[in-house]
Amino acid sequence: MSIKLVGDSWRALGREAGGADSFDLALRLTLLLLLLGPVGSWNVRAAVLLLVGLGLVFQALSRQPVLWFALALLTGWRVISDWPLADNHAYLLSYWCFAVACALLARDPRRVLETHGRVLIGVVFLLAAVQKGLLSPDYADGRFFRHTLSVDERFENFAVLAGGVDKQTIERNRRYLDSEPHEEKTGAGEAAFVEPLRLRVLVHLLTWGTLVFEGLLAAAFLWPRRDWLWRQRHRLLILFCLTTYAVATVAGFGRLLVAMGLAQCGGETHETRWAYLVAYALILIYEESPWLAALAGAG
Amino acid sequence: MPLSDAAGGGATRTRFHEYVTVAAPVVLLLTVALGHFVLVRTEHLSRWKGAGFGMFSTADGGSSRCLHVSALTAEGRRAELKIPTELYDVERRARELPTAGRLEEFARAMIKARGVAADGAVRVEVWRTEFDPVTMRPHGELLRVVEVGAR
Repeated sequence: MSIKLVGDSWRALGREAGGADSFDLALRLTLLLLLLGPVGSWNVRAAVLLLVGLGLVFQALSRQPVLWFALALLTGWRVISDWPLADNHAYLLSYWCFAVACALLARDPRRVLETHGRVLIGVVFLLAAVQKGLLSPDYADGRFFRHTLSVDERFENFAVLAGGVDKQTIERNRRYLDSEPHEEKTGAGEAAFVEPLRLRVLVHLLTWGTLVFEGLLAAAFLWPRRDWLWRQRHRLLILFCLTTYAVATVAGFGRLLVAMGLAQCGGETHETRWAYLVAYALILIYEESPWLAALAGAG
Repeated sequence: MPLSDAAGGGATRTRFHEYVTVAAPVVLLLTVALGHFVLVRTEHLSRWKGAGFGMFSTADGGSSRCLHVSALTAEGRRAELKIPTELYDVERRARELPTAGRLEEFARAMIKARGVAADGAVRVEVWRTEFDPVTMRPHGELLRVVEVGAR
């Protein structure tokens, strides 16, 4: 009896998710990410949560441009009041709320929101690729990931698992890299930066793999012809979200990209919609569960 | 006005409205990104900030930058000043975007918080850590210095 109930529930979920309007799903997932990661100071947060709650409870309200203009203003105010400290996805969230509001004012909201989602994602990844490949002075030669894998605690467990380095070595490298820059003598002293071969290989893979992947995403989303590359954009974005946010736990960015990708699934298969929803759920799990730490500890 | 002219004018306004609703969010993104690139070049804005989508592209940002603050006496002596907790937010903003105005504002806040002598001054230096491409040995690069008199 209980197995049948689970099976019935699963089939009902499958029908609901697969048949759901991707436009409405994208709006609801955006509201959900605002609920899961409230933004701003207490007054902004309260106003955002109120609007988000109303939008989730009353579906008709979620299709009103005034709700989304209000969310765009509030999320935009958060960015302005935090200037220059806000992370990049805080800006993208505000742009996306503004895009939804603009789409709801258009004659064909679905088509307009699809265009917004596609172009915004494409331009974001284009900027990211240009920053890494052309403008940054310390990305292409590997210095960024050599530094980050030792200094950024979010990457520590990944460095242990994939880079073959132990936590003591990471700690020693962190002390070496963190010396005060304004002193005549750096704190590095006689110490050296320790890099096993596997870590060096990982650095090269991450450096060039990330650059190529982001460049491909930019190309796929901005490609003007609806040919093979254009058709790969959902697969590439979902793969990017599943791999990147397993390690770099900037979950808000990942969930936002999923919502923006889902908004473009009007003509896509149920499987594509499902894949986005699974990616959204997995990013939540990545954020909340210490799975990497458990694997690194067990290894 | 003839009906056909009114209809033509209405269709033009609708097309313009459609263009604006499609273009506005992307124009906003590109405008802010352009501002980011200008500030990176002119005011040492960290690539991680300001919506240029340069996060994870450089080690320059956050803990790789620091503010060094010292009090200067009229006799030329110099003493390092510790940043009080109530100025951590101001310090962080100044570190990520070290414009002359921000550093001067921070220096004046330090004068008030630390009670610097009226004939003295506060010197604020913003340093960025760079790493040797081969050995990863860190060395400092001075981005900006300001001195503000206590008077």
